[in-house]
Order: sequence, then structure tokens, then C-alpha cells
Amino acid sequence: MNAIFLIAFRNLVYRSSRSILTISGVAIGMAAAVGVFTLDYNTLMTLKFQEMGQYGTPDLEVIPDVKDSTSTIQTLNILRSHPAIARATPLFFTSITTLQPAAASIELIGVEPDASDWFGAYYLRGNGENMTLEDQQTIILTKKFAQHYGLSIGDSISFMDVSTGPYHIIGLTSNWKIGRRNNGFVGFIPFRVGLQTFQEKIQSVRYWIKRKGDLTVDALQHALPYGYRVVIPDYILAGEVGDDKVMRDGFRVGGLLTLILGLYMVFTSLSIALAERVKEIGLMQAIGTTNRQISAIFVVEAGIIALIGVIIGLLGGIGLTMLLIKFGYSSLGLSIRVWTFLIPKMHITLIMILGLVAAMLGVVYPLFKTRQISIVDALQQRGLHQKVAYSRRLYIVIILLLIIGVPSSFIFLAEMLGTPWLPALHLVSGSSILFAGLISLVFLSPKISGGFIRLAAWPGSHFFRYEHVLTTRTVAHATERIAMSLGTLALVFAGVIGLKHMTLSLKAQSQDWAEEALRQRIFLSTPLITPEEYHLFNSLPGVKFSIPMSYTAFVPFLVRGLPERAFREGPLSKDLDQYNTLLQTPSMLVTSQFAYRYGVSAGDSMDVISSEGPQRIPIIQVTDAYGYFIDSSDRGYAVMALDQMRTLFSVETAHANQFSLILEDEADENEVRNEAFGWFAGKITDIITGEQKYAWVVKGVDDDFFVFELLLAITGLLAGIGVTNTLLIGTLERRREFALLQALGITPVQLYRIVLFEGLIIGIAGGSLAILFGLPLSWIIVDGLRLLSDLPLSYTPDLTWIGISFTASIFVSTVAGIYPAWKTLQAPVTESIKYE
Amino acid sequence: MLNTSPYTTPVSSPNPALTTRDVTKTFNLGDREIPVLRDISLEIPQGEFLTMMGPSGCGKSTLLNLLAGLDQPTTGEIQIDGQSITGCSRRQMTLLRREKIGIIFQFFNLLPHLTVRENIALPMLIAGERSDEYHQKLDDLISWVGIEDRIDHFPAHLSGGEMQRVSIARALINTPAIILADEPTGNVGTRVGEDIMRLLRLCADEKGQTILLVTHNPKDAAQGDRVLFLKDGMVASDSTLIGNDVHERHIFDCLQKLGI
Repeated sequence: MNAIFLIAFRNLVYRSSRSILTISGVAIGMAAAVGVFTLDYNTLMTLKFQEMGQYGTPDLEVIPDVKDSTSTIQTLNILRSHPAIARATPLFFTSITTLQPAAASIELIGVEPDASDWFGAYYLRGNGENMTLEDQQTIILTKKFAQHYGLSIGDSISFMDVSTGPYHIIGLTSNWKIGRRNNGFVGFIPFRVGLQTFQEKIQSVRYWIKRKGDLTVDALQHALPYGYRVVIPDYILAGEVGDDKVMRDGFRVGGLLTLILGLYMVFTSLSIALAERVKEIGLMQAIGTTNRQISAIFVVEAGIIALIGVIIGLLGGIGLTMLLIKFGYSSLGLSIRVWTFLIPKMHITLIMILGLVAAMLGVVYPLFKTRQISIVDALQQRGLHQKVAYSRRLYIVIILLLIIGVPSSFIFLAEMLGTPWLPALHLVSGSSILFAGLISLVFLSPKISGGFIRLAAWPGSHFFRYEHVLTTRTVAHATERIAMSLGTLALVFAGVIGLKHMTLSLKAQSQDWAEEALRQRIFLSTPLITPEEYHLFNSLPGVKFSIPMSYTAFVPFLVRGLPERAFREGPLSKDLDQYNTLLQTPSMLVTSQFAYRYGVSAGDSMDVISSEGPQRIPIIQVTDAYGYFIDSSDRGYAVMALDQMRTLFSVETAHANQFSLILEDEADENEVRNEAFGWFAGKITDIITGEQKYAWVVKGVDDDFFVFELLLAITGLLAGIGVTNTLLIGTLERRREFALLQALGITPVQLYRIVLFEGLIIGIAGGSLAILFGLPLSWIIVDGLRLLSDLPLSYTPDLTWIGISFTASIFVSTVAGIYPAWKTLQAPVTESIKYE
Repeated sequence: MLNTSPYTTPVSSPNPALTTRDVTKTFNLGDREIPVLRDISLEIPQGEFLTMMGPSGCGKSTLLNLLAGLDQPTTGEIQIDGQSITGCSRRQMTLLRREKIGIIFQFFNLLPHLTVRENIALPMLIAGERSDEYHQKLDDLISWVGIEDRIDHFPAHLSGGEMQRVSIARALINTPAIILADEPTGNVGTRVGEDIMRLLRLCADEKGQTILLVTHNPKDAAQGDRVLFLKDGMVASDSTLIGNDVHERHIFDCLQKLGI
């Protein structure tokens, strides 16, 4: 063992530049993947913790259409008697203004106090003891609210527009979890008493469920009478639906692609590096080293490279994540401020194993081949590079692995991680098949790849005469090495084309939607106010009319109810028949994302669960012109006339807290915004103009996709490292040739030109192949994302980025030749010529 | 430089060190068959210093490779110390080389990333010997070949002569019964060549090691106990020279007679 480690270690040190380059390839690929998955995990956790903090962590939620006391008791009985429900508790949330001690906005949460331990969402302990909310008008305030308004235990607090007397403060609690809502200004009151007191002010009652086993939404929905809707809590869906899901999926695809490219580069570097050590292997065998010992040496070398690369990559990836978080980036761009830092152990472990395995695979097959070469041939190095590294069988195995192994492994891993795999399978298998096609072309058809090189070299033959002659002859004899470089460049820049088209299609879709949904609008949020209050918005100068946007139901998809006035604008205003149909009959409009997700169009119908039971509602139009909400990232919903919605789903419409102001065509959004702030300063909690939102969407997409640009830069760097590695091998192979040329009088500059010319033509050929494979790859990625995201993404080849990728391939490959060219000149001429 | 040999005598055996019976070797180049060796039958007794001469392309190196087990004959049988190696597996031959054969190459074939000391110790290392067991032997051998002031250098920093001494020391470290030398003086100067030949002579005389040396150099060939001539893949048996008083001019006469 000592000999094995000694020889392995010495070899790594002796070929230090190559070792460093190979380790860099592993490290960079690993760092990108670790960084992506860690950042994404923390983005998701931030979103979920935000939702958990705001809305608790039940397994399921049940939302009834009606919320009176009788139905509450009935509902609880039904839920608590269900065999698959461990615990059920009712809650309500309502924003209200206090009367005494001061006019303050407070969020009242009606709870069953003994449920707090079960759901872990609120904390009713004070002075080391559990506090009991008795069934009277008692209240437990958060400390922040109490301190702000100088309240303490024993004081009372009364509320505006409520006829009952004050609530007595019996305790102060921490701003923990849902105690953080409303900026920490929260009061907990007994559910039953609060329901009676504030019935008019409560928008909805919710029932939180803790289940036993795998109770599904559908199973519980079927067990409940009509008029109840079972929903998945927001914290479960946070980051996993809509635009968020699309961004995250795209981000992770980018990270995986970078990792695969890095590992491919390492695999080829190790394979070809072994080929140049055939003589060393022959010598070792001549002096009595067994094949097992030789294999052990190279496995140890690969293992050291892999281990160092993986460790550096892991640390680098974590560091990259910390840096991106510090600068405000998340896997959803700049819109989320990540405040957690957790390591996704399972994902990272899998990535590390993948890195180690790929690096080890780089030596396995060439080692297998060296056993078949005669020792005498190895010692005399008779044309062995081609025999050892190049093997059709190896690449046929790789192709089969890509076509069969990669999709199978993906399914297996997804099952292990418990994530759905079917939507992404199209993307994974399509990309694998395409990569298999590229490898077939480059490695199984040396004549074709050689032809690409000759074609790439031909334009330069008039300007680079001796370089052209010397290089093209060399290339003809070094098809394997050239194929490695070609393959690396083609894969990397095909990936760049693919990723870039993905981001462009996402951006285009966002822009298309924003154009229709955001122009000449202002969106604002307030505490719950009555129709009389929000009709005042119509008086603002420049406002055509205002639309309350608070009326929603989940049936089992999101439906938003808008008043009749909203449909006098936009596409429906041009079709009187449709306008009347929407107002007078149960019917709906759906957004483009909804239509794509459910595969429906105008004229189709959707099944809904109304208060009276199941019904089929026809779709009269697909449009994004109605119902955009500033706090939702899911643009897949249906829109109905409010009266119809009230009838079908018993939606409470007495109050609203979100509004869209539709402006006159010539009105200035900012002026109206400022005016609104002036008129309603005390009431508006959030306001944004359509223009601001549009700019945020468009510019935000560019900023959000910065991390994709970073990934593209990393893949370009990997390509450069890969090409440098193979060019270095080339200079070693051509050492005697270069020494001879120097002996015959070639200058250093001319030698540089020869090496750089090889880099140039490899870059041109690689860039051409990148376009050939990048275009179908980009289509596969966009199409796959369509399936993953349910977004109607369009695909248009972007000539600018195709040109940039092609140019980048040439640049990277040419620059990659600088170091090998310099190395060439360092080797003493006499030594290079003297010995074998 | 030349001292008493530092290593122990290899165990002697009643069998000939090397035997070949009707060995042929044919290479296939495309659809052509090129016979390189034809019906080579040889017997090399234990402790003999046999030199072999012949023109380029006559098959000397090929025969050496077959005797070292680096290649297999097309037909015929080869025995080492009475044990047939024809048809042995690659692993068996590797272990045999490790234990019984030392090879000295024309072009040194040192590992560039190991120091002189490590290159010489390499056969011991791969045999799993502990350094404290062979440490003294290694030092004595290094001193014997006269390379003690270069032990921590890498091959890139050595002259041709120094590299060949390292190569010789590596071949001797395991005290092999048989030493196969393929033109060991071919890439070094006259003075160094003489030293190398004296070293090999000592190995045969003092330690009874069997040496087969392939050479172009008549002066080197004359050092052998027996000189064979190879022509067109066959041993010119009627031109064999035997004895201690073989001189260069005898070699030249044979070469002339054979038209080589």
C-alpha cells in the first residue's frame, strides 16, 4: 500500500498543473451545484417559515362557506369524529381597529387555547405558566402591542364598531410564530366568544387539521358535506406553485447542468490523462507490478483528485450561497430576502457521491483497456493513445447510460426524495437523448468530428498557412483528444443556449402577462373596510372605478369574484353576449396559466364544489385582463361575477381589504398613487402602481436571473478548463515535434500561433456543434418547463444569444490555449529531442 | 565505483536458467505475417554471461522480450529455471519477473516523478517489502553503482550515464537470478559503458547471476562467456564464440563471416 500511495501522490505532484486543472473542474462543478441547491433550499425554507410564522403549520385546512356558531359545532363534530383526523381546531383571523386605549390596528386571532400545543403556531404562556383563555371576553396580547400602547395585565381593550364591552387583558405573550402577524400587533381571544362578538368582521373561519396517516385532500373533501373546502396550507405550497416553482425548477436545472458539465470534463480529463501514461504502465508491469496494483495507483489518484475537488467544491458552494444571500439573492431572484442558513444534507450528499463516482469512472474504463495492451507495445508507445482512451464500446455504454440510466436514476432519486417525477421526466430524458446524440456524433464518428475540424480550419488556411498545415495534420492523428475538446465545448455551449432560451422564454411570458394585467392600474391593501368606505376610491381624480379583490374561494381551484363594474373594461366589454352570460349565469373567465395548467379553453367546463354540491361551470373566455393581485405569485385562477360567486359559494362580501383601481387612459399612475396616499393615509397598508409592478416584473426578471448568468459564466469557465487540459495533453504529445521545429528555426511567437490556432479551430467547430445541439436542447428545456410550471411559455430561437454562444466558444477555446502554448516553450529543446 | 557486490547470492538450481525450444515469433501487420524469430532453441546455464549480437531488426529485442515474459511466442516453449512460462497468465509472469528477472532497458525507463532512491527501491515497494528491511541493501547498492550523491534527485536532473546506473540498480535490487539487458550501453558514453559492463561482469562472476545481454557493441559482446549471433531471426549456431579469451577481433570476424 505504501508504494501505491507514494506513486499516486508523486504523480499528482509531478503533473501538478494537470492535477490542479482537474481538481478545479470537480470543484467548480460541485460548487455550482452545492450553491444552487443550498440557496434554493434556504429560499424555500424562508418562504415556508414566513408562511408558518403567519399562518401556522396544520396538515390540512378546512374552510367552510358559512361561519356561524351552530355550524362550527357541527363542523368540529364531523372533523373530530373522522378516523384519520388526530386533532381539529377552529380559528379565525380578523383585522380590527381598537377604540381604547388608542386607535390602533390589531389582528385578532380566535383560538381554542388548549390546541396551542398541538399546532405549535401560537404560544400562550406567560411568567412560566400556561394562560387560560376563558370563555369570556378575555384577551392575551403580544408583548410588542402591549408595550407600544402601554398596556398591562388587568387593563381592558375595546374595539371600534363592536357593540359588546371591552375585553380584559389576562396575559402577555411573545411574538412567536403567528404572533408575528400584523407586525407583531396581535391579540388572542377565545374562539367561540370572539366569533359571536366579531361575526360581522370575520372574513372566514378556518379549521386546522392534524391527521393520522396519509389523509388526502380528496379523501377529506369527500367525507365532508357540501359547503366545506379542504385546502393544503400555504406553508406547504410556499415556493412550490406558480411562478415560484418555475423559477426554482429552472434554477435547479441550471445547477444540475453545471454539475454534469463539470463532471463530464473531469471524466474526459482523467480518461485521456491515463492514455498518455501507457508507457509508465508498461514499465510498471515489466518490473513486476500486477494489474491490480496498477489499478490501485490510478484509483488512488482519481480518488485524491475527486476528494479534494469535492471538499473544495462543497466549501466553495456553501461560501457562494453565503455570498449570494448576503447580496440579497435567492433562487427566486431579488424578491425574497433569505434569512435562514441550512444545509440540505440529503441533496448535498447525493451531489458529493455523484462527483466522486464520476471522477472514479474517469479511470475505470481506460484502466480496463490498458490490461489488454501488450507490455512491449506499451513500452514502445506504438500508437497507443488512440487504443487506450478511445473505445467505441466505452462511448456506446455512455450513450446507453444516458438514454436509459439517467432517466431511470432520476426516477429512483425522485422517489427517494418523495418528489413527483413525471412532469420533469420529459426534460430529463429529452436532454439525455440529445447529449447521447452529441456524444455519438463526436466520439463514435471520428470522421465526422474530424470533418467539422477541417471545415472549421479551412477559412483560416489562407491566413495561417503553416499553422493550418501542422495543426490539421496533428488533429487528424489525435481524433480522440480533439473529440474530448469538441465534446466539452459543444456540451457547455449547447447548455448555455438551452439555459438562455429558458430564461428568455420565462421573461417573455412574464412580460406578455404584465402587459395585459398591469397597465393603468393601482393596487392597494387596507384593513377590512365596508363597500361604503371603498367606494370612496372612485372619487379619486383619474380613477375610472375601483374593484374589490378580496373575494376568493377555493373550489378546488382558486376563483376570484369581481363586481359587475370590472367587466365593463377589457376584452369582455367588447362582447355583449359574453358580458351578459358572465353576469347572469354561473360562468367564468380563466387566466392563460389556468387554461394551460388544466388544458382547457373557451367553451370547456370545469367541475367545482359549490355550497349545494358539485356543478360544472363553463369557461367563456381565456384572458389575463382581470383579477391580478399584488400578493399572489400564482397567476392561475378563474374569475366570476361576484353575485354568481355569492350564490354558488356563499362567499362573504360585506368587507374587503384588497383593491384594484382602474385608471382613465390619460391618468398618471404616480399622481393617482400619491393622491390616494394623501386621501387615505391612515387606511392604506400597501400600494403599488401597475407601472412599478411592471418594471419590477421586467427588471426583476433580469435581476432575478442574475444567478443564471452566474451559472452560465461558471459553465464557460469549466469549458475553458476542459479545453486547457486537452490542449496541454496535446502539447505533451507534440513535445518532440515542437522541439524539432524550434531546432529548425521556428520562433516562440510562431509556436504560440500553432497552439492558439488549434484552440481557435476547436472553438469554431465546438461552437458550431453547440448551435446544432443547443437549439433542440433549448426547445426541450422550454417545453419541459412548460410541463413543470403550467406556464404557456413560448419558444423563439434568439439569434443574439446563439451568436454570443458561438463567439464565446471560440474565445474560451483560444484563450485556453495560452497556458499550454506557454508550457510548450518551457520544455528544453535538447531534452525533448534526446530521449523517448 | 566498483566494490564488492553488496547483495546476497541468488539460490542456485540444477536447471538451466533459461531454455527455449523451437520458439518462433510472428507479427501480424494488417494481412501480412512478418516472422521475426524462427525456431530459436537455446539453453543458458545458471550463472552464464551470454551476449547476443545481430543487425537491427534481427529479433534480438524480441527474443529478450519473450524471455522476460513481456510477450508470448507464436510457437515453441520457454522455460525459466526449468519452469515453463509459455501460456502463463499475465499475473503469473508479472510475479515471476518480480522474483526472478531484472530488466535493464536501453532507454532507462525511469519513472520521472520518483527520486533516484525511489526508482531503485520500486521493485521492493511493489513487492510489499518494508523499508527497514531493505534500507541497508538499498544504500549499499546505491553506493555500489556510484550514485549516492544523486539519490534525492529526479531523473530529469540526471545524465544518461547516471540514469543507466539507476536502471541497473533497480534491476538488481531484488537479487534476481536472471538479468536481461537490452543494449544497456547504447545511450551512454564509452567510459560509462565500460563501467556498466564491469558491473554486469561482477554480477555474473561473484554472484552467479545469469546474464543475457543484447548489444551492437563488439567490445561489450566480448565480455560474455558465450557470444551468440542472431541473423534473420535464427541463431547462427556455427558462429558461436565461447570462452574467456574471446576478443573483439573474433567478434568482427564472425560478423564478417555472417555478412552482418
